[in-house]
Amino acid sequence: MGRPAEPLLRNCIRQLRAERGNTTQEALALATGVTRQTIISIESGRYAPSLLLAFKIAKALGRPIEQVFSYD
Amino acid sequence: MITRERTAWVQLGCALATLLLFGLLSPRIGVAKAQAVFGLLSIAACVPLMQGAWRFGRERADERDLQIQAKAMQFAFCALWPFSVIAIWSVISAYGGHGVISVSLLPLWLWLNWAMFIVLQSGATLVLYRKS
Repeated sequence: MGRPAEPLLRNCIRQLRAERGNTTQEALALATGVTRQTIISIESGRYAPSLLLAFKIAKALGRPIEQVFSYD
Repeated sequence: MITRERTAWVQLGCALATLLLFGLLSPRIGVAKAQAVFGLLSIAACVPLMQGAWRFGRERADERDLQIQAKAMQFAFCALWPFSVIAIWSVISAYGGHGVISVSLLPLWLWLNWAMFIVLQSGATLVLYRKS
């Protein structure tokens, strides 16, 4: 339960959504099969997604995974 | 707030109300009769089923939900374990190894554990949803 860990997995989902125009968090959630709250958590760096979900998000945004997520 | 968070709030409310009512009623009508209030816990048990029926197909449980659920369950077990050990040792130290206790204390013991488990599990669920 302790202190939240430092975000190691950075992402640019918010920017990519904005670039794609009308991709809302809800639309991305529907495309990847998760809840909107999970997309919000990933975007803000509070939740690190599984590899499968990361691939799904990248595919839904039409980018390779390394352009969406980066590891610090 | 998603369905799972609402469910946790209702369960927490049910369990706390049950414990409060039991605390208020047991000195007045006796421990055996006051145990009837633990029937309220059935509401807490039914909430996920009712919510599932209402929301079926409209809200999914994803990997984050499952992770939170597993962590909350683990926390509840870990937190309840010392409580159980302390309670058992308290009874043994009070009555001795060959002491006699009322049989009505056995269901009370189970009800209290169940209520405590719901409080801990739903509380941890709410905290984890806030944090992650």
